[in-house]
Amino acid sequence: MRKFSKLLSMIALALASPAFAQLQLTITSGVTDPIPIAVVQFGATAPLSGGLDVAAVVQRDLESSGRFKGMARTDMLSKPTTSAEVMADVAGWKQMRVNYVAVGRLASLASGEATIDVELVNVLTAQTILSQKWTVQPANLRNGAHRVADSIYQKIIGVRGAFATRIAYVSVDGKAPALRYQLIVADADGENPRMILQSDRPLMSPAWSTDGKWLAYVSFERRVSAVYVQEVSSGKRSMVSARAGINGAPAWSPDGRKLAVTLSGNNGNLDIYLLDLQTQALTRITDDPGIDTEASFTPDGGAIYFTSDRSGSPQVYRQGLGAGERPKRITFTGTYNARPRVSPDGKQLAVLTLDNGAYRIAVQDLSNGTLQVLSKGRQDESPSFAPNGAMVILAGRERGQGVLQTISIDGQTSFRLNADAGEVREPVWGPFLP
Amino acid sequence: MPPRQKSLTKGRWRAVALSVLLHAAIVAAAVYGWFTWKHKSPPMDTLAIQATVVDERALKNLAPPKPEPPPEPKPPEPEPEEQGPPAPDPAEVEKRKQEEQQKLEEQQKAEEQKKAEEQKAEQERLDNEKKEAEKQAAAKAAAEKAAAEKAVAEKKAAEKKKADEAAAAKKAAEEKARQAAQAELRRSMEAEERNTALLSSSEMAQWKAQIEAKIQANWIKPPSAQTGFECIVRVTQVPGGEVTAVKVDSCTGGDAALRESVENAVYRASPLPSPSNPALFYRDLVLTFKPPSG
Repeated sequence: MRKFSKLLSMIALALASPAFAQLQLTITSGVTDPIPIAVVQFGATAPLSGGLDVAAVVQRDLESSGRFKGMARTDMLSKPTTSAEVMADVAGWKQMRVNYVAVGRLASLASGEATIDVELVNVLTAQTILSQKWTVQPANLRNGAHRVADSIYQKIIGVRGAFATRIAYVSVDGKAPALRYQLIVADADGENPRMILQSDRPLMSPAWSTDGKWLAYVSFERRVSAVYVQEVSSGKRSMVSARAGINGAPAWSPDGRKLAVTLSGNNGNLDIYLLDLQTQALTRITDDPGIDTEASFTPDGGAIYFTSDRSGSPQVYRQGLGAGERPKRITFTGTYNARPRVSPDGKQLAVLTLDNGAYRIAVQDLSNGTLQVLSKGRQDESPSFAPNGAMVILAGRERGQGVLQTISIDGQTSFRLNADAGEVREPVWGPFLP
Repeated sequence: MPPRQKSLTKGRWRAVALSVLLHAAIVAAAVYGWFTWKHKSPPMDTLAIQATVVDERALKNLAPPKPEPPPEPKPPEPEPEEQGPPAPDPAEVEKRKQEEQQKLEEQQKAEEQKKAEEQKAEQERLDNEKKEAEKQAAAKAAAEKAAAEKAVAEKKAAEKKKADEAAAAKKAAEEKARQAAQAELRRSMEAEERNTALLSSSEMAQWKAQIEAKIQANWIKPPSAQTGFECIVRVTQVPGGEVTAVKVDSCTGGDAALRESVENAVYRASPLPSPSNPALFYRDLVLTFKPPSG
């Protein structure tokens, strides 16, 4: 009897409280709206050299990702520089419909270095979710700003930001036949460009080493093609492949020891080889009468994706690097898929595809083969993944000029990068920097 | 004649009275002596016991003799009628002396016999008393034993009564609890019916859809949240739809950014839509954020 009554009361309890007092709802879809954030101009205890507006750089970085919408400064009712000041008026910020407020302070140290103190407040929950300090050389204040943006991005989006990274691209200016080719390294936002090589003959196919210290590229400076590797910081370089015929499309193996290169040899049949940078030993990877080129390593270095026209039109294939592995066709959508680049997580492939008569950038899901076209241009080219996999950089054409743009891999956001120097081609996104 | 007779009678009466007095004194002395002896003989403790148990009759028999012979002369014996001629003659005197002597002896004999009888009676009485005492002791022991047994029995009975009462009270309490539980269950079931009715109403469906739509419009899904996640979020709202508390109970298959995004979504959606029928209002909501099925 007692057990029974106990059971009864348990049933009664179970029935009474939670199930009845609460309404069950299910949310299965969201939006990709940018998250509203206010990056308030940072306070500065002393004028810093250059007078860089760090908060503006942070805001622009965040907006370029397509994930954030920065609040216009003219809309801000106050200019807090500490989280406490934000907390004091959380309701006011909430009323302005922002989710987050980033505040910061700049200071100069006696050593000459600068410090950036940043706090991030979630005004919806009234919590300070980030409080971080950076110490940088004044000359690197811009890089410091990118790092601030990286932290905020990671805190809110859950993915490491890729703002404090670099890109490399080729710019061409002048008028034929007096063209000038430059190899440029710039911040990921296109700012702070530095020319690392200049030639009046074509430069092409830059490729970052995995550690971000080296670039490999093809130069026609000797009138014929040759592959070079160059240390970015010192400019020191060496020619690693200048064989008969075409030497092209270098790609670094993840361990940095080898380059995949496209060689034609004397017979003109383009195939892919592995070049050991230490021993100069050459290993043939593909052997097909068609054109095989534009190799890209998987993150684990176990395979390459490459373009081949062996089926009649350019398509992407995968070739495992183990003994006896056979090439496997990967792309089947449309008549033209080329220039494959593997995403950092190895799950996606960015390709140049012919989409309704236009050359566009698409991303193929390697698990199910679906291809999603991201870009909207007519002559887009050269996709390259950001190291966090969230964005792709590409070269497009505007009014006959090649321009750089980034596009989120959901295709929602594209962002045009500043590049003063003429026409830009073949952008490649570098790895995370330590 | 009468005066002579009178005087003679007078002289004879005196002698008789003296004789009676003497006998009485002897008897009294004997009785007293016997009693004094008798009273000394039984042990004191027995006496003490006897004192408590002797009955009235026994007590009457035991009435101690007066220390002195009664001063009143005994009523005259039938002698005067037996008296012969008043003129005494020596033979007759001698005869009378002998008769008196014989009478005295008979009297003594009778006294002795009486004494023996009295002793016997006393012995019997003592025996009886002893028996009675034993009987009384036995009775007392029996009574005591009975009393002890009765006490144990009573104690047992009291205990049993107490236990019975406790059991009854417990049973009553259990019954009460069971009834309360049943009443609660009934209430719950009724509430469930009411809730089921409300929950299945089109107004409720509409309100739910409105809330879901508003939260969906405010949920900025992080890119990391693609598949295989589920977040349970408890939301408290007040009439008017203002969200007063959001608690992410669990978020499986998702990262911190997903957690934060669902929490923000609810706050961003505040105030939540109000139901067309205020009776439908729920203060506590449980939201499940998950990828579309299929």
